[in-house]
Amino acid sequence: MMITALVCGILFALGAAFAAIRLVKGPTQIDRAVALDVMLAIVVGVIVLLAAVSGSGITLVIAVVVSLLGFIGSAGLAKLLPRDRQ
Amino acid sequence: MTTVDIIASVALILGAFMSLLAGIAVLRFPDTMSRIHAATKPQVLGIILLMLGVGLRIGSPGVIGMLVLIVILQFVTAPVSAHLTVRVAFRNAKGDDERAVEQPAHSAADDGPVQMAQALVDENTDNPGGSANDGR
Repeated sequence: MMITALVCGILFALGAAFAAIRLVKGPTQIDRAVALDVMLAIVVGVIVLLAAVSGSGITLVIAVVVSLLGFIGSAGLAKLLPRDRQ
Repeated sequence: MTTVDIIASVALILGAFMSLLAGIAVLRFPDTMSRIHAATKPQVLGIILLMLGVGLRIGSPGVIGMLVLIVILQFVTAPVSAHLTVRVAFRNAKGDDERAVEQPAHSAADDGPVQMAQALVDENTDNPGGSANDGR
């Protein structure tokens, strides 16, 4: 299980790094919102991996909260970004 | 390592690989709408695979209930947030990109049994003037 955790951790870290590059580079604000959405999904994945490795199910409550917050964040950004501004 | 542990590990690695795919797609795709498309599709499948891995590893029913809750939340919220984001991206792309065109408004009253019957009558009786509705 430790090897699995290591491999999964490396995959998540690479995915988050690529999304972070897009977060910095993204020409429009919507690109940044999408990159944040991807990063929050990766955070949910990491918490689920932690629950798998440690064997306790109580850390999954954090995953519920983070996925709800991710949705609210990206929907709020999409609604509140002003028209025609980059 | 039992067989169940091996299957759980494979599911966890595949789920993490989906997140890597989403990250690569967000970095490398040329256009905003392609990035949204490729970043939200693997998200739900990755979550399902990860939940499968955790559920196989921890078998207690409370945990499985919470996993099902997370999956249902992702099913409900991921399409909504993708739709809202794409609407803003479409609005930004409408001027510059020639592929982003507004489709003609097509309401539910345009396809109905009345219109279909009218189209059949027109094509059988060779009505030269055409019907009053555009048979769309």
